[in-house]
Amino acid sequence: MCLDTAQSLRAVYFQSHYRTSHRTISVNSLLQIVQNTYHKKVILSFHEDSHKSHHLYSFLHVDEDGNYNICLMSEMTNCWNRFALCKELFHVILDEESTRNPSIKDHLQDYRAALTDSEASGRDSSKSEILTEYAAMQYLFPYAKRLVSLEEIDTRVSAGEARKVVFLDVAEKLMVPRLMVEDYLGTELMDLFDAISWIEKSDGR
Amino acid sequence: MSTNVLDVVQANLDSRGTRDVKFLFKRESLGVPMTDLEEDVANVLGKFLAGKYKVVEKLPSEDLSRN
Repeated sequence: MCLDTAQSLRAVYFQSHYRTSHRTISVNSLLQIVQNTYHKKVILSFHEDSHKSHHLYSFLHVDEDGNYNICLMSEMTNCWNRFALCKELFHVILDEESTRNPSIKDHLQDYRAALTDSEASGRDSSKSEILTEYAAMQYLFPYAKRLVSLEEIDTRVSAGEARKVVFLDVAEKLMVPRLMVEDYLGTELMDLFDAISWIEKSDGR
Repeated sequence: MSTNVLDVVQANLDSRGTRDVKFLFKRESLGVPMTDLEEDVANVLGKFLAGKYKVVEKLPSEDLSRN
């Protein structure tokens, strides 16, 4: 569901928002699409604090009027700004009553358990943190393109280039944080996407 | 249980009718003690609720940057 949505939003982008001046798929365009198509009010801001002094990159606050306040920590690279905004926009797109958790403390504990405890599956609110990340990466770096990138990386590394340099090069072309590119080209996540046969639905643009 | 800084922020969020809050954490935050993480989240949200942020229409740039 979250991947289908990401894929359909890629289609909307390439159909009506793509510009030749765009070096890669635009997250500002996704913001426009969300506001115009989903008719949801999104207020984007930068926090006064640098991300360097905190444990988070961004957060989404849904206020009493149903406005979606996306706040990015300051001093992040443009790649991290893009990824963080993209991930928070998928929270806006996929928001449902069942994915909300009014208790921050409970949400933090449940989310961490979902990531670190193999016995814990997590509430829907925690799952939504994970699924929106999958969706954001599908929007920015679709699975079919990841398969092509893996081949390119293997070829270049076999030719003697340093793995870290090649990953950085791929990440910079996509304008996605290298850390995320490495994660999503790793065995665990490639196997996961392979297991759900996502290749049939993913575009490789 | 004693009231900590996150409880104070939670009360503030509740009084404003906040419907939901979601986060994008750094990977390394998984290794941080939960009390430290709660304090950090409370600090960030407390400043947000105090209006210490700047609204923008869109990302100022999607070009490559290093900082």
